[in-house]
Amino acid sequence: MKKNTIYYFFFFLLCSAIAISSCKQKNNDYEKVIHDPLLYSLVMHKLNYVVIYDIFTPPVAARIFAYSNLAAYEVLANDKKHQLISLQGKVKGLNNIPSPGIDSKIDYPFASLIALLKVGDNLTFSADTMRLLTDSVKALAKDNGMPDEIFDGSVAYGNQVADSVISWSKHDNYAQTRGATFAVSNIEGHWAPTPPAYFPAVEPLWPTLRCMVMDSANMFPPPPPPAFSKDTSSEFYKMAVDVMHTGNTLDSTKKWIANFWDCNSFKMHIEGHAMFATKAMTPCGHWMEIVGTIAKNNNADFYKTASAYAGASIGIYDAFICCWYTKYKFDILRPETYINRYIDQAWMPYLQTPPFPEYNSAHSTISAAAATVLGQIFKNNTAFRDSSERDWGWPDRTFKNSDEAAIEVSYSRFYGGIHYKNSVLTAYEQGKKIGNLVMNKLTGVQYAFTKPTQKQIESNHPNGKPITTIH
Amino acid sequence: MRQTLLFTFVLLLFCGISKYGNAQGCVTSRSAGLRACLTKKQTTVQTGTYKDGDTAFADYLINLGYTIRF
Repeated sequence: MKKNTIYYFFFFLLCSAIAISSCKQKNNDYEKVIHDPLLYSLVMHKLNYVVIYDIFTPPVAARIFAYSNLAAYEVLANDKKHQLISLQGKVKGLNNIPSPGIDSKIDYPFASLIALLKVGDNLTFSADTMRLLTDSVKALAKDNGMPDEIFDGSVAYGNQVADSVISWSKHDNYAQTRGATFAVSNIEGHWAPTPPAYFPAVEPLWPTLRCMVMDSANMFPPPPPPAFSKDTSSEFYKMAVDVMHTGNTLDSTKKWIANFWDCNSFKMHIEGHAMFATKAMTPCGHWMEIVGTIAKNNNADFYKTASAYAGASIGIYDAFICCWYTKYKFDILRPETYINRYIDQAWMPYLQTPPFPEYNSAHSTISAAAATVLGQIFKNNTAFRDSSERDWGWPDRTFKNSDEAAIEVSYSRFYGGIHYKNSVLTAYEQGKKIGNLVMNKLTGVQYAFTKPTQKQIESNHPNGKPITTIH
Repeated sequence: MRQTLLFTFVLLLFCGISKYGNAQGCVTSRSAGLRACLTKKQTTVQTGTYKDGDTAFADYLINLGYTIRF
């Protein structure tokens, strides 16, 4: 009996020791939570959904993502324990990012999230949602044991960097271009508003915004589109017939591809006298989700994940300026307009035509730019499964690499009947050049652009097998 | 003796729950009910190999968003 008592006593002591040690929270527990790169992606995902809710146009959405990610990146670049290099002096006008105080105690990943959210809050409308998100991130740090001194230092530094980036953003000509309208020329061959809503052209002065790394909006001019003609033997006519024929013979996979990359942030629906709109991710929002996916697949840490978001969003931002310059320079009419006027009055594209000139495809340009940046950051280890369209009911699509996705994006616009094939291919090339430039400027490493042959592009598409068949 | 064993078992159970939260390895926060969790599943995705049933990025985001209550 006595022996049993001693045994139970020691057993009790052992169990108590284990219990106490497991109950005690370690001081660095917060690091496991806050330094999780998936947390960065989740915050970006939330910002993406704020952008959807607020219905920003694609170029404006790109601006929000670029400044927010840059603020986060610049915070991380001040962490001497890591190898990130500040983009000051490399990105136009970015040169006043404050350094942390010598005695400041800062958790840089946490401070970077604070900076990202503050810039995001400044550039979006949903202040309550952004504030709630910021409070949630702060509570997460506190609840997981971040010491007060580090918490306060991180919040203060994150806010300082955010203020600096916000101040820099005020000089990019964005404010001056609000309310600009585009005069429809009514000249044959030029852009005209399209059904069903006949919205005015979006952001006609976007090319006047300050580029981040490009020398100018016209740094990568694509070849001019074929000359407008109504002649049935002309190249232009054949391009339009190609769009019409392709649109009339879409199989389920091509419809899936078109819908998957539609990314129409404000799609109008007209049923009789009822009109309503549905919201969706912008093209750049879709690519923000892809950045997180590829970073996760590469087991990238918080710093590399943030770098990928910053690089891709800078590429996308500049790509929009470049593409918008091209659009308003050539002012080409959409396939829908051409076909309705000269071939078939009743023809409708599979996707809804976006409200801005056709040549060339913005989604193709920005996708190629983002894919190029990601390919270089992750050394072409960019196979991914894109699950970002689930909320809109589209099954996942898989890709061997980011470039394959960019090519699919280009074709999706052709399948959707909103772009001529020539337009999506020149835009793809343009985007590749922008992506290379971004990486050249930001890393100092020269990346060459090799123009793919038509055969290479065709062989890379369509890719993947449907996980779910759409009927 | 039985009472001692029972007490020890309950103590271990309580501490086990508060440390690990659930079977997926969650760490419970000390206040406000927020939980930050990194599940074992999150480290198992293989680059470049995808098949039906694999965890997709959307699942990771939902899982993390749920566990930290964002």
